[in-house]
Amino acid sequence: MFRARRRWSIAVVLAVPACGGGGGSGDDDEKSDTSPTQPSDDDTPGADADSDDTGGGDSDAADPCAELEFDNVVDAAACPSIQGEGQEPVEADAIEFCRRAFIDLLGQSPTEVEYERDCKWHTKDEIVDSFMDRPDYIRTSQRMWADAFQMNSAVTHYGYIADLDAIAGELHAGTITLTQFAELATTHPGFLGRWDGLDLVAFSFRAFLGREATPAERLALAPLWHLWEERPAPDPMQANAKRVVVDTNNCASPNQSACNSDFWGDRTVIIDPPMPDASDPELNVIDQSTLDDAQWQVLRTPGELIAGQENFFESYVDRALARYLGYDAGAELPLVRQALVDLMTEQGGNVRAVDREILTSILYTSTNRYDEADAADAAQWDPPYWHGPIKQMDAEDWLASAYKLAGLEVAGCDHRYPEVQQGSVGFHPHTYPTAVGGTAPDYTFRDKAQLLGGCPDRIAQFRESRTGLIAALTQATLTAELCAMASTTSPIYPLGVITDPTDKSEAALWDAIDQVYSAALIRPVMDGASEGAQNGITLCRDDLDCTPTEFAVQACRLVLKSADFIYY
Amino acid sequence: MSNLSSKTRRRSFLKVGLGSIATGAIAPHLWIPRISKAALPIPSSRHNHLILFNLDGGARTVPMFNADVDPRWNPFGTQAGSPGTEWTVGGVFDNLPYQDTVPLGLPAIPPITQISHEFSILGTIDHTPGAATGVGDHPTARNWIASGFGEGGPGIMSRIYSTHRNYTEGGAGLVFPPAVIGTGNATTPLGIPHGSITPVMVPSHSDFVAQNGDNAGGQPKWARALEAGLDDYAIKSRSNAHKEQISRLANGKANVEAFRNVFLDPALKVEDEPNGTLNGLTNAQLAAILGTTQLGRDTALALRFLGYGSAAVTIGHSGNLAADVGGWDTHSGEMTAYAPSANELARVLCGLNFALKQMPHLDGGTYWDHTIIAMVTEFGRDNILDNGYNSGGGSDHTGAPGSRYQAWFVSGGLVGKPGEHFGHTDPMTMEVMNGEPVFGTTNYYAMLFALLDIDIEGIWPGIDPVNVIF
Repeated sequence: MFRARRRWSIAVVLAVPACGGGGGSGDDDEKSDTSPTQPSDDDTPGADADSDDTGGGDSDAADPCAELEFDNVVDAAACPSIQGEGQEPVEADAIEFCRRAFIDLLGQSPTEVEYERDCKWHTKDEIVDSFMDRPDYIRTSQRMWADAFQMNSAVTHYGYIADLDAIAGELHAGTITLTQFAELATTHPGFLGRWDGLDLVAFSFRAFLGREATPAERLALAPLWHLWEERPAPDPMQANAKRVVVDTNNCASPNQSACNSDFWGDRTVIIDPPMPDASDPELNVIDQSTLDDAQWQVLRTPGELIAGQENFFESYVDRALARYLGYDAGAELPLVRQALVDLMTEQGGNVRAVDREILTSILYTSTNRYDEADAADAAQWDPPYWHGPIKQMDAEDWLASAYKLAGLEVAGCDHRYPEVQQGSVGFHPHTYPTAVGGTAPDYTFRDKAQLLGGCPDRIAQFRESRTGLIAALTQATLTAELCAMASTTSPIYPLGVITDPTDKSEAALWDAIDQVYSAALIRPVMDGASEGAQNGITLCRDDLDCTPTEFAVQACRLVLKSADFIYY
Repeated sequence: MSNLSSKTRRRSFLKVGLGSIATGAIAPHLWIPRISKAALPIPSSRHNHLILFNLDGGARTVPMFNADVDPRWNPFGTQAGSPGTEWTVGGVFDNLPYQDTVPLGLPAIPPITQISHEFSILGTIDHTPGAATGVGDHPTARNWIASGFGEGGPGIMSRIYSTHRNYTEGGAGLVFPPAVIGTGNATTPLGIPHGSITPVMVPSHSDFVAQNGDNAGGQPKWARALEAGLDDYAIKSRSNAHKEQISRLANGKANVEAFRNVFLDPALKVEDEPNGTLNGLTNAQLAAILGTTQLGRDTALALRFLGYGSAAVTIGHSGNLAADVGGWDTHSGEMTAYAPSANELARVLCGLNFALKQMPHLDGGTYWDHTIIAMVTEFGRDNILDNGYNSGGGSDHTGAPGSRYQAWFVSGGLVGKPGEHFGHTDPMTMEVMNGEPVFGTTNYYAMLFALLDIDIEGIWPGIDPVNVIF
């Protein structure tokens, strides 16, 4: 039995106000890119896309891509694999797109209020531009690099980390290029303080060439970093701190060959000892902070060489495609990869241009609701670019979103410092809240996120998206806590949706679940889910222990850990 | 068959199936390798168990288990093992009994030097037998140890979940899924999903308690139905690839329901509930037997999972984190970090040897009789100087013989030739000696799968399991 309710047509509900589409406000000449086409929420959302899927109608027709005009290089490059295959992906509606961009760029799921304020009245392009101008886009991007560099002040001086993180921020603010970033980062003390020896080569490759260095590459290129060392340098706020230095003795005569590599051309990285005749070798050790520009120019040779590799831009493009689309689009759509590499080259290594092009492309703006017949053989499945992307929310983002909906202050993790260190005068600077009644960082949020693979310590734990039994168990435990803490001012307040605690009618329960669902997902339960949801409502009505209040509380829990909320 | 129907099938068997109880009486049979020349039998049974230690980061196994080599390869020396031990025991190991059990009225736990005859050593493990060079990089090595394939793929614990007959046909009662305990970069890939199938992934014994909460994810039946209704539509309205992805979440929720009573058992709170008891051992006794390091506690949790029917548990060991780089990946700081790491491991292996012999098994005998204890790690170490270390007091991994040919132990009552050493290396060069066998990682996994009575031909076609230890 389905509920008796007005039939929602998402298209009707949302198309009027959203995005300048439908209603025709705004950018008239960008309608195809910016006005969301609202799919109805029936059971076959993607059906129209492939209604003629065998249709072969293009076998002797003109190339459809030749008849289309594109203002996005991704769209143009993907066309042969999409429209060229007879596919017409349906655009994501405003709510779906808003959640996707909000989570990807700002690190949280939007509330209804945020949707109204930040998305409802804006085109997709405007939304992307607006979000990319916010500090949260910089922060989520910095987090990505912090993972790549495995930042951790248990190993590296906090000041070095902060500086490297700030440079990553500049990259995504557009004030430096990817080439400059690579040149700076691969010999930055925040990087040198984290790794030694062959690992300096390995992690440079991982960060900027998107692959592991072969053993031969590691051995051959390590001499370019051979000058770098560390010295214990306890800091008042970090007792275990070390400073990064250049030990010129390492390459002084007769050891010059130890600092030479002929792997990518004959290159030598040598800094002359300042006091070659000194009896104390430490007098020929130079702190990195006192190096002059000419010395830095020599020392940054490894980064310069890495940035000169053919697949340097390609590596970033692949990283960005995976970040926003959730699959290896660089490999799936090599033409798209190449188009973005070309764009990046044109733009002088500006990563924002690449990010924006992906975020405003058909690959990103299409709906991920898609009708496809079950097939056991994965080789027979439709390719991922025939519909929009779906991704599992990062553990931190999910938890932050749930905190926000429950009305709790979102403490977050300091992506630079999984574990704040301390020295004689206290803890080094960080962004964690301070524990009540003390000075120590409050790790409550971090510890919860770590249960699901977020806020990794980057020594024994690494960021991951967990699913399965234990992840579900953890989500059940955390949502029980959070929903119990929600209050009257919370965006999701389960007790507030019950107007009459004695009314256990079907309509009242439907109203409760719709309100709770809307608080988290901006729209009511979709019609396609009605039958399944109705089953739960019926069982509740038959269960004497299921009160309307209990129903609302459980609804809060199950919505926050629902597939609709976690996958976006 | 679609992933959705797979899910349905799984759920039906994860609940206690009356019809499945009869399968508990199936007797072990001898597994005959595909190629007759390798005709030694493998004592295969679906009621066997696997405890697999992954030494995260690439452990230097030679000084522990193939110690009779040049000091460059083993700077810790050697020591005598127990009678019947053919392999050379590393001098790095402590050799005094562990006394923590004595106050509890149990005997002291013998050190590895007194039970070394119960370990067999495969001294020439290689990811890529026959290749010009070994594997020296982490991602490729992780692919091998996670999946048995150089290019990677579903993790072996997911494979066990999707192919072991206790899970596909039902077991004797509720059978707990395979589990991965640990968070290391080389450990979690062993749980890479196989389609929508994901093993139990537990960060640690203590995190597990926090994940469990007070009521182990309890939900009223109607709430579960409502949630399933929402999730089912989320799955149904997506592409096949996305269906598979989202089904993992739905499957996890279904399993929370199925295993809730397991999670409520205080025995699973191995640190917080000392009186929790399963298989005849209290948590307090396990703490004394296995030690109270994270590895010891995680191993105690692994024993609890086995007690609830899990066919296999992987336990990640990150070694001694005092090393600069962390874990067993000791590019530097190895001089101080290695011995504590090795002895942390040895302590637990000795404890397991004792504990499994105390735990009665439903099929008769004890868990010792039905369990194989094994290990994996990404690679060994090389690129070292005459003193046994690199210039940073550590060691590297280039895929040269020192890091390529690893020495892995196997132990447990299923091992037919305990104490022996199979596959010898040249003590100076670490190359495989003439006429000595090389054991592929995939063949090693095939052996472990064969012990669990899993059809390996469907996973690694043409691969012969290692069988020299039987």
